[in-house]
Amino acid sequence: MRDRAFALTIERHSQAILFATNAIAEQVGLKPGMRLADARAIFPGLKTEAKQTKEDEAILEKIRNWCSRYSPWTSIGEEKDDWGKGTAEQDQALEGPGGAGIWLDATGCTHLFGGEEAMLADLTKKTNQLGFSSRAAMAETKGAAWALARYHPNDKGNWTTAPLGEVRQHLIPLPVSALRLSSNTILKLHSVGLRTIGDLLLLPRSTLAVRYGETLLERLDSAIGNISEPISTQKYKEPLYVRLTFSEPIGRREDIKATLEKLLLLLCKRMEDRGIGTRRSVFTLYRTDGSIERRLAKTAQPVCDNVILQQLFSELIDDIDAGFGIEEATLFADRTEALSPHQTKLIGHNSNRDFSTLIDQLVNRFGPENVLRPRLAESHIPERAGILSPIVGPPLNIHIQKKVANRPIRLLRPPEEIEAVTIVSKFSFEPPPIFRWRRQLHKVVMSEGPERIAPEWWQEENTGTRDYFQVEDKKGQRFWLFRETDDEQTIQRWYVQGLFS
Amino acid sequence: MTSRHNHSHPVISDLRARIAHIERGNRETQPETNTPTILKIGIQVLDSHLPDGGLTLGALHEVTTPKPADTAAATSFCLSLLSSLLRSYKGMALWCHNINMLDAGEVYPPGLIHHGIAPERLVILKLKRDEDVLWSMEEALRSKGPVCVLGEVAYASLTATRRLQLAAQYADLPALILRPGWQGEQNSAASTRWRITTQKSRQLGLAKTLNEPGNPCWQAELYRCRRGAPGIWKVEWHNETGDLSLAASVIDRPSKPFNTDVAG
Repeated sequence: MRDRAFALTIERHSQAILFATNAIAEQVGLKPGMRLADARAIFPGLKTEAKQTKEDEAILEKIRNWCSRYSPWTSIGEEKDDWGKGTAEQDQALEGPGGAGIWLDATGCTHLFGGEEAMLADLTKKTNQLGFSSRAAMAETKGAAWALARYHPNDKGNWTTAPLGEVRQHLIPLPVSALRLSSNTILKLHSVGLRTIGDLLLLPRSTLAVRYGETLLERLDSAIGNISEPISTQKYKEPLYVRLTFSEPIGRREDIKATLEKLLLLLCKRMEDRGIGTRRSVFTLYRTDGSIERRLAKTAQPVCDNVILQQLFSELIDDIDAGFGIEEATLFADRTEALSPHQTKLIGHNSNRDFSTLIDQLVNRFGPENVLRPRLAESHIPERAGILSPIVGPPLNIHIQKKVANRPIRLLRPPEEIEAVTIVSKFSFEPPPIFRWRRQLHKVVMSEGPERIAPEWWQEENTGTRDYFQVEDKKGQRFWLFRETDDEQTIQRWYVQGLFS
Repeated sequence: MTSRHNHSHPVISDLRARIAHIERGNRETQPETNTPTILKIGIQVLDSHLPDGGLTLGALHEVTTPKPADTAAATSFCLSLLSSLLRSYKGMALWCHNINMLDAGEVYPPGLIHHGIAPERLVILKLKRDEDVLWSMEEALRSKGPVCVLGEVAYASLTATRRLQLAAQYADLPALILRPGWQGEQNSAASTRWRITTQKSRQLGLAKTLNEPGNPCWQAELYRCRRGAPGIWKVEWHNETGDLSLAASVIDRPSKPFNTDVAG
């Protein structure tokens, strides 16, 4: 496809128009925004395909994942907002290569590749090998990077960088459409002869704001660096991110394990220096065919011990299929927290730490929803008063009752309805003398109660009024029964909710 | 068995001690210690019946229930052991459930408190398969993290129990298996195997007057004991203190005091 004229088309006003063109198509004079009929007239050999939004998004997501080898913070950038929605004239105002892009926050990552230039050269070369043509730019502001990636002159190749403090100079020659403006604003600017960013910078700011709106100023400021515009909402410092590349792709399980070991050592060293530990670590492997494999290890407490982390990962990486080989591996401490002093290695072994390591291992293997802690909650309704809740995650706000009445050791959730074989008067203070539960008859010989538990009217899911009884049957089995009556006292049902020892 | 050989030759008894020592699996670590750590059940007769003078800590113990109706009693038996363990040792306990075994319901936190167990000292693992439960138990023992490991399974093979027994010996931590006994007898490498049956509770004082359920009573049958003899006891669990005691004499007494005048 790269050696012949090619364009993607979209439908607008029941006309097919060009959405994107490749370099060869541009050489013969085709431009995005042209009608397909015109384009064919100019160049009959043009090959076209309809743009498939969903597939494009999926591919973009794949590329984004692939890009995470360069930085842990990647996101998909927006397309030119209103392209293809207005008139052809408006579209042409948004000149230059369009389409979506991918943001990389390279803060603290460039040294891994030997500098900004080397990183971008590597990035564009590798995407090219994958079969995509790409343009890349790095600058100190998001706006400038966006503008340069799309509009920079191709003199150095398909990438460029704006060194610190030189953003302004780099932006001056670029067209105004490099500012991520709406096509209407661009048309207005064009109509008065303002074509480049340099033209705008010469004008007083107040005039610009009055004539073209606050957005123009905002975009201008964010490109030049007067206001900051973070890519991710995370508050970040230098990321805890380590990587390894292989000159020969690796594939054996032992090699993957050894790679992980090396990366963990590097990561833990860096975490130790800063006195923090990781609660979520992401291990990513990049195959030669561009696909990736990713494993997550989470812990309940911050960890800074490569042996523990290795243990956690070792179960997760067993099933990794290396495919045609793995060329690169990265490890990222995604969520970090300060280590409390007793968790450092110096203190040595203590059983508390062993236990939390065990819990992490279990959580990673069976999922956080299956590793539970019994808790008391503030409620009178028995099934709400004692719950099992996940051990990881935010602690529940729980009021601990010190004194608890005689309660069963096992609770049936939900309570099971029983059949009172003999009819019990609704005003009676006795449980049914004989009841049937799970097809078995139980004759009550001892009973204690009732203990009345009123409904919690402030709860959305309300229960009826319950009268609880502890009963023992002829064989010695002890049950916790209750009778539930509704507000009108008309219907009453009997349930067994718990079993006593 | 042990009592029968008490008068044998000193060489034999020395060898026997060595074998017992090797069986406990601490031949590398502490070659000269012969007294294993134990947990006193709290009933004099039972403790002295057991070969080590109590439940051996570094071992697997199995508690089975002859009928579904006995599950709560067996749970309570395990918890009363766990409770005294948590009283004497610092740390946490792990309880692994097979969720298909929860016919009798899940553990109820207020009930734990009633048994003298602080809920925050227990971690509960809900798993789908017996293999996962057994795996977790072994892993937990080997990590030496928890004070005690409990597992509720439908089935544990001889191999699995042997592994657990070894892991428990290695860690010197107790492992308890709670298993339904009505699904047929299984071979097991557990060092003690118990059968817990629920019994009529013992009413005392006011409970007797009001005919309310009293202190829970169970029949505890030690039907297999490594290096020891089987036995059967009636045990009472005291609601107020959480202690266990022997209840046999009380359970079999007629409900009314025997009138000597009429009998005489």
